[in-house]
Amino acid sequence: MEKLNLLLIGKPNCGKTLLFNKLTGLNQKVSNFPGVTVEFKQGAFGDLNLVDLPGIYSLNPISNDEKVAVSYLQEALASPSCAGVLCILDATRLERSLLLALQLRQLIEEHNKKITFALNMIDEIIYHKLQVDIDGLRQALQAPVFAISARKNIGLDELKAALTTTTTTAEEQAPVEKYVSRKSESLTHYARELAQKYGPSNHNILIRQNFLDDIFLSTSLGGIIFFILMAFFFQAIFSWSEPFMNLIEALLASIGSLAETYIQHEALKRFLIDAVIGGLGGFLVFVPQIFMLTVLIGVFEDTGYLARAAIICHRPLSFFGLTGKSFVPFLSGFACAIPAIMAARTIDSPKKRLITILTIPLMACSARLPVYALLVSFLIPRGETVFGFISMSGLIFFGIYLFGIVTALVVSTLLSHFVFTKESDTPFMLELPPYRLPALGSLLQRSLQSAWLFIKRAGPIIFMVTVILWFLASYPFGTRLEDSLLGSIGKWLAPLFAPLGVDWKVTIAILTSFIAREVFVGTLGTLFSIENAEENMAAMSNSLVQSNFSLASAVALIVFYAIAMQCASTLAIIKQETGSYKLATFTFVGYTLLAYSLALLTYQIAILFF
Amino acid sequence: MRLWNLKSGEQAVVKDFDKKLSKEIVQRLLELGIHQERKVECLKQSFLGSPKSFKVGDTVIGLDKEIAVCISVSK
Ligand SMILES: Nc1nc2c(ncn2[C@@H]2O[C@H](COP(=O)(O)OP(=O)(O)O)[C@@H](O)[C@H]2O)c(=O)[nH]1
Repeated sequence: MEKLNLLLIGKPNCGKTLLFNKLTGLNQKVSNFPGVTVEFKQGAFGDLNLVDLPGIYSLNPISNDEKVAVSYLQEALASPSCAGVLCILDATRLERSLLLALQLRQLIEEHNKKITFALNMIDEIIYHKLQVDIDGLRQALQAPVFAISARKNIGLDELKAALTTTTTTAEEQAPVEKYVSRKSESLTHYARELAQKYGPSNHNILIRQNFLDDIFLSTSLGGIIFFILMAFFFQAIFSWSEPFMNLIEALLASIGSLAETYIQHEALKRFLIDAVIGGLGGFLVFVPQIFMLTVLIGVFEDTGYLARAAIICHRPLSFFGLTGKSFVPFLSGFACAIPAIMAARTIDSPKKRLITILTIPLMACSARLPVYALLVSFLIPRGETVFGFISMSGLIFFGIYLFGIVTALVVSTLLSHFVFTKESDTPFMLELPPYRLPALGSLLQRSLQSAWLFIKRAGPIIFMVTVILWFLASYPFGTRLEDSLLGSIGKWLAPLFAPLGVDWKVTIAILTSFIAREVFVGTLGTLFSIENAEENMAAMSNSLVQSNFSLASAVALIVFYAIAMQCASTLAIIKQETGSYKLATFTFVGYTLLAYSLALLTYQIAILFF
Repeated sequence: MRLWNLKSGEQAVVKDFDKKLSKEIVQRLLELGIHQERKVECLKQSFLGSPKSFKVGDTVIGLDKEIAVCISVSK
């Protein structure tokens, strides 16, 4: 028998993700890419299938994220495969939670399904010695209410027991005419009434939040702290992931040398070393960075700081046609444009959402990292420093990131003034969640999940490309690379990128990276290692030197990769999120042309200097 | 007087919404607890014109000038 679905619903920051993880453990399936909670996650919970919906404030959706959740909810409730709803309330913000609870109560009533309420964050209520009248709420809502703490594991067993036994069916739950007849406005008042009657007086909790906001949102300190945190953010991504990257590199190297010694079959050996380790391995090395990035964004998100960052950034960003809410998607864009574009659903203004979606691909995503790492190690082969302590490569990396951001701001301004002039706009309105300590276990689980999904999505493509390339580059077998099939194709296409001063091998790498950028390094890795049997960065940049690659070309290629729209998955997601082929095509053609012309300009200027 | 005019620590009672605000926005404001005769406190004045934060009941909301000037309040 199909498992019945139980829908998990709650307002943003009520602890939904944490409870979902606690209830389902490791039995989870993410249907697609995880943004923060933008995707539907499903997980087995006893006989039930728990479905995690994006957070919503009310059943009258404003943002796209809410629209997705509400329409899913309505469809699901109409179907017989839905067992009911588990609605999470935030005990520290009861009034807001109760409005949604009452609306849901009303909707559930119409569909004759079961509803259970979990009053979360009860640990904070206990800590501040406050009181909540659970029985009162139970009566008012005419449904089971469980006081729990997803974080401190309070009341979870009782909740689980109640959810898995089918004791109360919809029919047994008392009818509640009093909500059914209520209009939405009086529900708002009723929520307030109930919160005052049964809820805690939240004075202490709000005072703590106020105190922290005095620091984080302060006129002078706020901005400084913001910049320090961002600097820490990027520094941490690079330095904390380095040991893991070294580990993976070492692992791959030893597998390579094992293959070298033990595999007799010559073609198989070359295939393993050149295509699998050289191509796929070159990309696996970057997974720790993606992981670290998701962890850090998660920490910012869960502590409640991201909402403050949105406030701090709103004014400067709105100058460029964006909103403070674009900040989170942009930040995620440094990891990967795909979850970032999905995270843009939380932007309620349709105009600003579109602009944000179309400019996210300019953030230097982690797939570009290998490309930049290679080109920068070519530019700065000996790791020079400035003033003896600032690493030159670090500085260039910073410059590259900045270049992406500045381009994004220019493009967003243009889009706002000239392209999306007719789209409707919504002013800025955002609930500031309380400051909380993040739950590290759940955070690590989420981040591991997204790293794994990244491998699953990009891995097969990269593997396929490297296999095909390897074949083309080795066929007819026994010939030199130049005389191979790929050699002829490359030479035929070389004029395309010759104005940037690159040869046919790099041309092939650029062309294959239109599938996904990280393929660039894999391709060069495969091509060079077929010639020289080398696969690390330093050796690869050495091979570049030998192929007459110039400093000017390196700079031009950095510019090209910063802008060009080389990611099939991003285009697909833009199409999915905007519902428009035209916009996806427009993005592809626009960015590719812009990238090519700016790269050409850069090269022409650069050869004057180098 | 407008909600936007409140300084840090000042309280006022919501009076009305300007017609300029769309129905959707007013609806959401109501849902966030900002409705007529409700007491609102400005927690944090903005710097450089960024959104201000307001406390309504147990909720803290950031609103930008565009919305907050369209809500009339009285002290
Ligand atoms: N003190 C406390 N914090 C919690 C509890 N449940 C969740 N949190 C924290 O609240 C924040 C938001 O939780 P999350 O699960 O991401 O909320 P979501 O946005 O609803 O998915 C995180 O920092 C959690 O660690 C709880 O029961 N007690």
